Amino acid sequence: MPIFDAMDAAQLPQLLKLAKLRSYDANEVIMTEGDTSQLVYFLVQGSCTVNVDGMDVADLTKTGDVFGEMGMIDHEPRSATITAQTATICMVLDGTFIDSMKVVDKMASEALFYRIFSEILAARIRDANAKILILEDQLEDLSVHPPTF
Amino acid sequence: MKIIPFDPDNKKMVDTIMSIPAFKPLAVGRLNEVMKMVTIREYEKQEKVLIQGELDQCMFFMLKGKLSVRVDDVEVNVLDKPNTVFGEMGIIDTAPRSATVVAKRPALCLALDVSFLDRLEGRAKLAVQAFFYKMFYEILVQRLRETNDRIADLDMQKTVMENMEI
Repeated sequence: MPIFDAMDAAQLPQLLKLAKLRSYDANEVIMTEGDTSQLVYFLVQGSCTVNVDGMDVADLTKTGDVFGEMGMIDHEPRSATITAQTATICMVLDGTFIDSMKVVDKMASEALFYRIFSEILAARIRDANAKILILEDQLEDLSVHPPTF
Repeated sequence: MKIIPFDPDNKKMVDTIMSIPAFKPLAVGRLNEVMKMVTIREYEKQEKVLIQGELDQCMFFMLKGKLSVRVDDVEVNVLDKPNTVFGEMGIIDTAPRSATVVAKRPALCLALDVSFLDRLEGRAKLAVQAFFYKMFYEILVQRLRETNDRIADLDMQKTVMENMEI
């Protein structure tokens, strides 16, 4: 997974010891909107649907796709439900995994992981901002040309 | 803009910085190392803090004052709460600034130049990097939650308008 490219030879085996592989059947719910949990998921195989308030908003299909990363620190409820579309395997880490790394590596792991997760979040914010612009344009169009029935 | 040098013996200055929530987890002994990346900047009324279209790698905490956020010279937001974070996309993104930020009142900001992170050396490097990347992560999580709320709100407005009877 590209996300682990930046890890060194000592960090990766340590991390893998803390990780668990979970397999899900098609249509099985992996994460539920509103639940509180600190688990972070990395898609290994399969595909998932992201659903918010009953609406499908995205698909996760690439090995290494990450979800649940917002729950790593704050204990806010999950903002989406993730469901397996097909038989799916995820690597799961408890959000406190950084604390469990050996003390000598802890700083390096913190620096590395928070950097990686910040980059993931920055990409998500960029996508979200682009979506806001589209929605604002659509709303402006609707106010100028209201739908007729 | 006037840059005020960090003075570890200035208790008021140290207390002000340590009162920023994002700096709270920082061990006091690390402040000197962290402050090598940070400048305290004083802006006069009407002075620009950020300029739309320019490139830089700074993020800011407004300590005092009132700032206007302007896109294409139209005010889109006003920042007046102490410790407000802005310009945070500049820490990871190399895209040009999407807005101009102007002081509506004299303002005091703490600016964090992220390009320093890669230039750090010695024993403090990892500790300072770990501190800042964790800080960025927390700020970005908060920002993403706000952004997602805004999308949900706009989606709702759109649905209402699409179904409105004329």
